[in-house]
Amino acid sequence: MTESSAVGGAPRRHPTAGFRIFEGQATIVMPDGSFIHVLNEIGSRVWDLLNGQRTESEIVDRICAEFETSREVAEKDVREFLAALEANRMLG
Amino acid sequence: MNAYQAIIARNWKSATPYSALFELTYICNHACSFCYNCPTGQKELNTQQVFEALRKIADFGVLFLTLSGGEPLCRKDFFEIAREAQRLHFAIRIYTNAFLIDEAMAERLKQEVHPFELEISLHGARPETHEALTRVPGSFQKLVNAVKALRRRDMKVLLKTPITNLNMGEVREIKALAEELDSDLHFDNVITPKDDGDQEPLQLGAGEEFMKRWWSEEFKDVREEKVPLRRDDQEISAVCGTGRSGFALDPYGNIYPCVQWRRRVANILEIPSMREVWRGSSVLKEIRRVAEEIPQTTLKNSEVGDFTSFCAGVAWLQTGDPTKMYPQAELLARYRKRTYVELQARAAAGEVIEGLDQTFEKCGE
Ligand SMILES: C[S@@+](CC[C@H](N)C(=O)[O-])C[C@H]1O[C@@H](n2cnc3c(N)ncnc32)[C@H](O)[C@@H]1O
Ligand code: SF4
Repeated sequence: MTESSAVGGAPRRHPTAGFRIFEGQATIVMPDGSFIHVLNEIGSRVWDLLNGQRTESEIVDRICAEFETSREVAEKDVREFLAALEANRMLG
Repeated sequence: MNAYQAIIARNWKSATPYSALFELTYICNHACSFCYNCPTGQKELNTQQVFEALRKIADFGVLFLTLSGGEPLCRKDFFEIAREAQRLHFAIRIYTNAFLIDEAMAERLKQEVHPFELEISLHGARPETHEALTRVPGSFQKLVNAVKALRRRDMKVLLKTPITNLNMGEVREIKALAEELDSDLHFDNVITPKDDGDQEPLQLGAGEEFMKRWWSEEFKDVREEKVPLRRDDQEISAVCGTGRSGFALDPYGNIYPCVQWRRRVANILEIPSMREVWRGSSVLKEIRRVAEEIPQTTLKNSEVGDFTSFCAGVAWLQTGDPTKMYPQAELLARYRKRTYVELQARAAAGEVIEGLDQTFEKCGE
């Protein structure tokens, strides 16, 4: 895992990815053009929050406040989501 | 249908655009004999005005931004503009003749702009052919060098070749060149009139004899469409994405439903937001109505309607009526259909021919 996405750090979405969030769904185009990702509502919100200035814990706080989900579930979801983004080289 | 295709279909239905083509300038370092651009002599948008336009487009939710021209890289502030587009999270594509792309420029594009694709116009497999159209000596070799510089940096290149009577004799060599340059290739069958209606570029078209061969089995290995495809107006009923999936802007800030159909909607500097004009414009309402009508009338009434890739903008430029079948579209559809019917007969006789049930992508998809 890179420093940017390390648990407790301030993860950042890939700075060169093009994206828009429309009706709660993020469509993301990576600069190599080969990946067009469409995220669900919570994933889209997390993506939006990944500006490199919020810690993972702060992102979990926001998800708990905005969606009906327990902290435990939100923590797990955010962690797994960040790992998936990392695996797809979507953090930077 | 995957999630991305579902979003596209939904956006078409609700006429929510996701792409914009921005002609940043009509200045160009080539002099292509067929170029459709028609500069008016007005002042082009300055850097700050382009920024304002980009912000309005981004606020409207558009994701894909194509920077075109003229030659977009001729703008001295190109990198400033492209960086602003990057900051606004657009997915950037560049249409270019690549003349200005040397190693240093390729590196800057990679580091500062991150386009997900560069579409580069290639007009022949040899300098004489390419330069017969561009009318700039040395432009072929510069293009080849540029593509190599971009590919060395792993940047995606799509070579685009409008088929003309100058290059129709070397389509196979063009394909081989694209392979050698490790780039994708798209042949374009349609030469359009100029934006002011001047039909002169059509003289450069490849002509009927070639189109007949192009759509036959002879060129199956060169075509992207291995088997001629039919159109599908079931899922999406409009003839194309005009006034729905995207829009175009000229260097003066005028907004059009698409790059081919230059019916002015408004000037982006004079409107508070794209949203208002997109919903309220009577021009766009009419464009959308016409785009819905064409499959139900023009194409339904034509023997080759099922095989016609129809552009209302070109119809308008060629006949003065956006709904009227125009000769090029009819011709291409005729030969598409002829080959399709032959293949269908062979399939009926037991031969395995894949792809006959597929349909082609509509313009703007
Ligand atoms: C106007 S150019 C602008 C971008 C850049 N200067 C270039 O040539 O790629 C955009 C595309 O339109 C094509 N084009 C220009 N005039 C045309 C015409 N009359 N018919 C068909 N394609 C045309 C060019 O070959 C190019 O691929
Ligand atoms: S390079 Fe592009 S803009 Fe320039 S003359 Fe040729 S087609 Fe037109």
